[in-house]
Amino acid sequence: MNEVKVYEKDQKVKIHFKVNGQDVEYETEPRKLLVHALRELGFTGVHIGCDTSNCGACTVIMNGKSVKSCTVLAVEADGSEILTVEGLAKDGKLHPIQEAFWEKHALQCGYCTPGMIMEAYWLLKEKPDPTEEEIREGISGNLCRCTGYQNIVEAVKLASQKLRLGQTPYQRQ
Amino acid sequence: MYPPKIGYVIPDSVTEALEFLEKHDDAKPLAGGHSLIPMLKLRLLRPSYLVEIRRLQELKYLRKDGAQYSIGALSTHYEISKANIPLLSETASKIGDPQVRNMGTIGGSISHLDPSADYPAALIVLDAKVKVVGTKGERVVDFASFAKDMFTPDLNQGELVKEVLINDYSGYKYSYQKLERRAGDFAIVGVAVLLKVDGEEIKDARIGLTAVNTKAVRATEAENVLKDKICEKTIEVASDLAVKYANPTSDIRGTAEYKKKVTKVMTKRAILTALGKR
Amino acid sequence: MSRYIGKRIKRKEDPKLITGQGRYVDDIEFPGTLYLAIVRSPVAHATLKKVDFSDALKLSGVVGVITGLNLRVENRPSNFPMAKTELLYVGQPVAAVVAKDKYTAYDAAELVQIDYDSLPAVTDPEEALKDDVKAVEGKGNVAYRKTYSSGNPEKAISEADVSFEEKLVISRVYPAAMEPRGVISVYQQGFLTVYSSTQSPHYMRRYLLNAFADKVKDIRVIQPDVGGAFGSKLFPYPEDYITVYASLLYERPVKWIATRSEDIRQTYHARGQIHKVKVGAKRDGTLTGIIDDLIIDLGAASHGTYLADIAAQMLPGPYSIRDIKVEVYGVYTNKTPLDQYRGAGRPEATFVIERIMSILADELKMDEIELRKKNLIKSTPYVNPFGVKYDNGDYASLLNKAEQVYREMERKAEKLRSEGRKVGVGFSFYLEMNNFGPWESASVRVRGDGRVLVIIGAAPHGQGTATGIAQIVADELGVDIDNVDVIWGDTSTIGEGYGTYGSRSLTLAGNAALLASRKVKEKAIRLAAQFLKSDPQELEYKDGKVVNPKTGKSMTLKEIAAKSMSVLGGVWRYKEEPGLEGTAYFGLDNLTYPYGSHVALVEVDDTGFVKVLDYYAIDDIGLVVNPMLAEGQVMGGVIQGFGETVLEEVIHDKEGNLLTGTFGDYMIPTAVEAFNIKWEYMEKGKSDAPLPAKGIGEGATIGTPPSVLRAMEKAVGKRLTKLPTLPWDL
Repeated sequence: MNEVKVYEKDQKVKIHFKVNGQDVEYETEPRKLLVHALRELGFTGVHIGCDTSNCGACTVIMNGKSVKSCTVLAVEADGSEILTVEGLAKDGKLHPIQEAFWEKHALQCGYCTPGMIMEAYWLLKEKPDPTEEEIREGISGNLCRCTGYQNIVEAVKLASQKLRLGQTPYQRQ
Repeated sequence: MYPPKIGYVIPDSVTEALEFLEKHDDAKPLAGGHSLIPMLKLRLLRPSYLVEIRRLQELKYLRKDGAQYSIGALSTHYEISKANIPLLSETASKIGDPQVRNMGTIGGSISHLDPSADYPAALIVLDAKVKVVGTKGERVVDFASFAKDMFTPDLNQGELVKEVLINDYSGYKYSYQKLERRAGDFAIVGVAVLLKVDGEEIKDARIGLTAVNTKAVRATEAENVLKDKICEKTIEVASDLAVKYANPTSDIRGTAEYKKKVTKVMTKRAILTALGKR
Repeated sequence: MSRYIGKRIKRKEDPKLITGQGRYVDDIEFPGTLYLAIVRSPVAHATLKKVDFSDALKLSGVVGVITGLNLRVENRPSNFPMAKTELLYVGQPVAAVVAKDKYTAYDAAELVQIDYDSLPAVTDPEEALKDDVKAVEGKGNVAYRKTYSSGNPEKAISEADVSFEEKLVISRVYPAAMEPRGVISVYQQGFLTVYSSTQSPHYMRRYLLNAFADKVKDIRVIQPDVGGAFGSKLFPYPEDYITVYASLLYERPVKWIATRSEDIRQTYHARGQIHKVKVGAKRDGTLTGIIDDLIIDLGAASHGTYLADIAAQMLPGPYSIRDIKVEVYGVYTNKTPLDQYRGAGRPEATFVIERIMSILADELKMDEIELRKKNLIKSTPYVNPFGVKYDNGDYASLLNKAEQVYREMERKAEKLRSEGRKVGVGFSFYLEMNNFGPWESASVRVRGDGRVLVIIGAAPHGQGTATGIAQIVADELGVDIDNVDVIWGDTSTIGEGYGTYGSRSLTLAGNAALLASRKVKEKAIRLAAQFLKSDPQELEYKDGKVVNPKTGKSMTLKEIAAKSMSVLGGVWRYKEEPGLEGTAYFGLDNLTYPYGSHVALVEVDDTGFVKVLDYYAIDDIGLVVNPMLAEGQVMGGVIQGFGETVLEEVIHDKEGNLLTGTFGDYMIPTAVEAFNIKWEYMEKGKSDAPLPAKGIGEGATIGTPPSVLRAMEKAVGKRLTKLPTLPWDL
């Protein structure tokens, strides 16, 4: 007979999860947002751009899917595997999506960029050869104010090319 | 931005979840969290506890038994969009944005019943049924009655949506058309159309409207007009009649006048798209 | 043939940003930091009676609550930074909770009770002009009146062959940089270090010192990575002062980061102008007279007259009209105060004059390009009716080039119309003013290892200016761009500066860097003369080396630097001062006046939604240092301009409640609404600077609204006069 685990509002919950392949232990009150937890843990590449789940700057990959980490509680992430932008480059080598963003001038202030890159990561898993329309729809949950999106779309097209030609090992989640 | 203090409950089974929810009348179930957590962040809601049901495998399934789909409450919009369910998959693919679809669930969505939600238009047209589970057992309700009013599902404290049942409408033509101010926004109007076409005639027609009332409605008069030979005139008349079922309010997403006008436009689009004429 | 200037060089700023290693203000943490949550006015207008924070203090983790803080800052509400006697707009700061973490701070903020008596609010600027309901107690609603007048427009209009009147409305918008504002203030016994998401650390240092000079000896302001600004992070904000005050009070680091909802309420809004124009013209298309009543919706305080000044002064645009008058009415309303946003007055001026041109073309049934050609200024420099001196430009060449694109799009539109689609082609030609000075600074320092460090007083925040300036310096010094680092954003590293705003950084800081590099070259020659035992007159600097053409001996910049470092502990026998450094301050005696044209092919469907099918922009900004960066500025600006035209509007209800208070309700374009832009450039209108660039940061938000609105107008066959024009307006 199992006891239902109940955490009171001031009680700390201990969670274990993996971020960018590393095991992490974290203690928090239940209401803490995942984006705050990640940033406290040092993953400041995960950005906060709004408070109504619109902008997508906080996008990370959780258990293989792109999610807005501002709309997930840290406690929900117990036992999960999370990939943030900090986990994309391997041994100093940029991920093809990162290379493509640099190549195509797909960022200006860089604030939306981590979330945009992670969403592109997810999009290209789902649709390895997306059309322009599919790319725009695929990043419709990520707002950018600087670039006008055009170069971001070009970058995703270039990244798709690079990935399909197998230029760099592609991390499987 | 910062949720208020809340307790957190991790049940190991649906039964445990239901028992806790029944005992604590201001506890709320947490599924995908994409209606609940935004409300917590704006402090519009202050539940005593959140009961995490997101990982209860008992509610996570999507299967076809013969001519009926059983969609577990925890099926995400993403999973449903990939399941090739006539009309419903298309509707799911238009909810929110990609990240929202990865987390949001059908059970959560219909338990919340936002008047602008997309599923209800499709569900009333598909004659969907909802299986509700509580501490005292299960019951099955037509979605049309389950959705009593906006934010008012037929759910008692201590009950959860278990699954959504939909008959297989393969062979039917369908379309879900959503008008939104910009991508990812709430619908200004959403129209779900399901048609049984035999040669040049429409034998069965269903039109569901969402976002233009406190809950989704069937435009029955418009449906009746369509059950005829396929022609421009009947489509035009049906689209006009659909407007009668729209009672929108003026807000920053449009004047009531405008919303009625686009109800007609989108109904026409949905019919034409379903018929492959667009 | 330069190696870098004029080329599409990849940005030096990107590696850290694409790997999530940018350091924005909220990424910076100090041990012992206290966090602020600002309690804000829930209403647009009220008498503030009492602020009760006793419950907030009881919460564990709350260190204190600050209320009633008032400092004398010019062009701000009389109670600034905190409301004390009167609440003037939704979002106005009333109190600040100081706590050990952000969650606690916001919990406590909820417990602060504001006691107030509601007062009637005025939100419509035309209503405000009537001066019935007062926006600010004890003050008339007309903050200022100004007249810009030239010639006799009344006479011109009365004698005109054709005349018309029109009311043009440019709604309030919110700049919406992706990173909300934030400040960290760190106090250390008489000195402060302030980190801020700002466009000008030097300017921030000056205005903070103005307020706190009696409490601190100096303030160092550091600009970390900034997530966009567009003009909204330049001028003093209440939270800047509150945060600094709190850190002085508690002698600990204090951090404040805006939530988006707060940012939408308090970050200064923009545009907000109504222009009632009377226009007269000859039958042949010559514009003869304009009278413009300009009402600018200032909000709860007037931040000066410059926005309407610019809109008025640039109203004649690139056209030869001389009889023109603008009557400016600055009015108070119970809304967030108004300040600059990408274009600051020029988008408004261009919108009005270009609307006038298109409407006139319709009234005269004349081709609107021919109409513009008829009125275009024929030679530059040119002093406009209000004394603005336009610099070098070849407007006609650019207009002709844009015309070709326009005709081509018109042909496309015809074909689509024959298929029954509602399409239209819009055109705009704009002349703008930028490179707001007065000057900018740069230091170029060659280190002992040969690496070149450039420090600029500008403060870019996404534009890629550092890359552009590295290109300039690398070309001038003849070194590899990978050996050039550009830093900025710290008041301790360079004497004085102004920052990044008004499309000025590439030109002003770039020229300063160019001149500083030339000083380094001169120094290099003098040092090399010592090392090579030559007469400096015999040496020349070429391709990164100092060369004696007669003897063939040479030293690279790196070798000169290395030799200057000599041996640690040794002596310096040479007659020249070591150190390969140069600092320069560069200013122009005028602003610069780039110009351009936008052409849009647009479709309006049966829901009133606007889809851009084709978009072309062409600019002449003098020398283009990095076409990729300039193009990026245009692409971003066009989508912002598009947002202003069809999607974005700050909306208040009659009581002054903000209806567009979240990113869900204030809608900036997503990738789905956005579209592809083709950009070209000419380099005929060069500026007078040694590096003859002019600046492109704001051009696109200036050229887009009139071209898109015109296209919509032609698509639906109905005159359009408002930004934004929404689907239900069509």
